Amino acid sequence: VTDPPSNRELSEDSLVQRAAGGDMAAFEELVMRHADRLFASLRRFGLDDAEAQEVAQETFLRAWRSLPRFERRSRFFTWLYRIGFNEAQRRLARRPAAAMAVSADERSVEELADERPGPVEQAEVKELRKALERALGELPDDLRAPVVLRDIEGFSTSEAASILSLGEPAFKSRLHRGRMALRGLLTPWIASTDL
Amino acid sequence: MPGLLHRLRFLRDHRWVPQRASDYLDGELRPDERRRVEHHAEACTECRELLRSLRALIEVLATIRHDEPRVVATAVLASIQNRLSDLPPDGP
Repeated sequence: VTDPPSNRELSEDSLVQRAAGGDMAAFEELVMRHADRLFASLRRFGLDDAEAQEVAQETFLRAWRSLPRFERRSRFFTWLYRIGFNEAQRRLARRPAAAMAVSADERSVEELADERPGPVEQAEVKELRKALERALGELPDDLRAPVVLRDIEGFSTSEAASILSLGEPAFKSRLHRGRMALRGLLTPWIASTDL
Repeated sequence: MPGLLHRLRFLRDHRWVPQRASDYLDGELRPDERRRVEHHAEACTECRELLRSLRALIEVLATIRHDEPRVVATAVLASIQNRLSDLPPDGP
């Protein structure tokens, strides 16, 4: 007789099935698997550390309550992300206007160009990532979210569009506009980086 | 006349390709559309540069995903456990 596998060894599907049946330990394993990634994504949506942590907690609580109704037509994380994104959108919408991200075309390219790194390639790529994170923060929410989901989180076009409750054509249009805005902000970097 | 037609086709594609650049890089164009992008980019420095820079951008964005340290999962879990312990014990 072999021992039953611990939750750490179970597949995501098995954990979701158990959690949906009220197995708290299975749900805790899901939290441990996904909380950091969700938190990082919420930060990139424009929330600060405290907000992102609160929204992550709220997301998991809502997921716990809704799991019995989760039909598993999408991946668990996609479903979880949709809950988190909706909550993040509500938070962002409640912010005072002064705290909202400015439009990408109001940004100074020189602001980023002034911080161009030295000649060491590894440091250059690291600095480019930092500049990229800053530039992402300057995008309007509706252009930042598609870039975060598709290019950073690696969701497929259909998954990302579903999370944002957009049709694929509208999603693709926003994704392209977001990339073009980032490219505009990062032109000095992209032109100088041999990737 | 063939020169004029060629020029008009070039200008038409020069407007079309930038709008389709992301779809091209994401592999979401039909084969004939892909060929149209590639054919134009061979002759157009500006569109070639657009495709190159967007590709570089997408590659860098993908590397960000793997940089995240494990920082909040334990705290998130503890908070959830606390809040759920306050709820009635009849499950989700």
